[in-house]
Amino acid sequence: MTQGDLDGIIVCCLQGDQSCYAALYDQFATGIYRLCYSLLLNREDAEDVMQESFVYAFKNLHRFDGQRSSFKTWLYTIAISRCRNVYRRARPVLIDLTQLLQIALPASKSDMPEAAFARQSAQKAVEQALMTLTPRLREAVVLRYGHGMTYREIADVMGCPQKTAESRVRLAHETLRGVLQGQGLLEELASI
Amino acid sequence: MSLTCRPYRALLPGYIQRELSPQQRARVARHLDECAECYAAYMDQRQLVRDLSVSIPRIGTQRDELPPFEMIRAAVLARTVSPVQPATVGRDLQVTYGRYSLAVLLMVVVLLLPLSMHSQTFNVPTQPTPEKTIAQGTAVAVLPAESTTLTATLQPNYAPILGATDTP
Repeated sequence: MTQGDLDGIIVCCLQGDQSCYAALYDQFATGIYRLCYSLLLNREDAEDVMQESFVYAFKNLHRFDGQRSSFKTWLYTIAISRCRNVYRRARPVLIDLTQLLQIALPASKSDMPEAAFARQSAQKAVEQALMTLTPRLREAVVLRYGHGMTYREIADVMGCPQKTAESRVRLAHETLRGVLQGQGLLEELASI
Repeated sequence: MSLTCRPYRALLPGYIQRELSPQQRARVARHLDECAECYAAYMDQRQLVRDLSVSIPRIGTQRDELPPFEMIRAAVLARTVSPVQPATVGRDLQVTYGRYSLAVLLMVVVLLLPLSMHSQTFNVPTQPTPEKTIAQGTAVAVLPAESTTLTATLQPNYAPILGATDTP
């Protein structure tokens, strides 16, 4: 979808056309959900945050200023802000006992090819490594690698200077490298 | 890591993702040719960037992680895009005007209340009549005119009776 198409849809939404709202939702729903899920790693929370973000954005669409930022940046800012509210909420910490006790579960996915299973394990390892980051570092690295944003866009979404966004991505790198190397997963990832 | 390496290490992410200016890029490339330690760090980081670029976009896309997008869309649209009926607008306006009128009325009452209290007349108590002193120094309350004569008759007469003796 080009920028012109998106502008047209937004104008159409502002005229109250429900099908345009649906088109706008369809355009961004997957990205917003991936963002929320990557930051929260919890399906229910990610769904709630996605829904609340779209409701807020659609109700306040008249406030969106295309001169100041792109619609994507504006929508991502709304979603990140709601994810931060979820981090602040006191939640009981759930501990995966198998992980804690280093229990190797029997391979129930015997029908799965070995490479795919290894990839899935590595994927889970990256998700767990992400959770070791502070929320700000996690946001920066997810926006960078999960959504291909530039440092300028990351800075806009996170509400910080560009240099801060750069240093957050760099710090996240160092931390992730340390965590994945410590588990011997960096070599495993490279071999997949 | 030596002090000379430090600025190059900071530029490595930008170098890997081709975000440096041509001058900066050339400087980093020259340093990587000369410094084995930084070259190893570069290879390490490049691998990590590749892994993250593949792994992070996959988060939340597995079948068991996907949400019911259409249900959420229906919920979002139901909460945001509700058709506005003209009759509803009229009723809302009536309710709003009614509330404003009531508020204005209350304010007028509150403002006029002290004024209405101020206009009320009160009976100020009159000053009591001062007491008169009699020449002999005895204080006698002065009663209203109609009872003055009565007071005089009630006074005990201590004057001696002429011609009377103490002898039996």
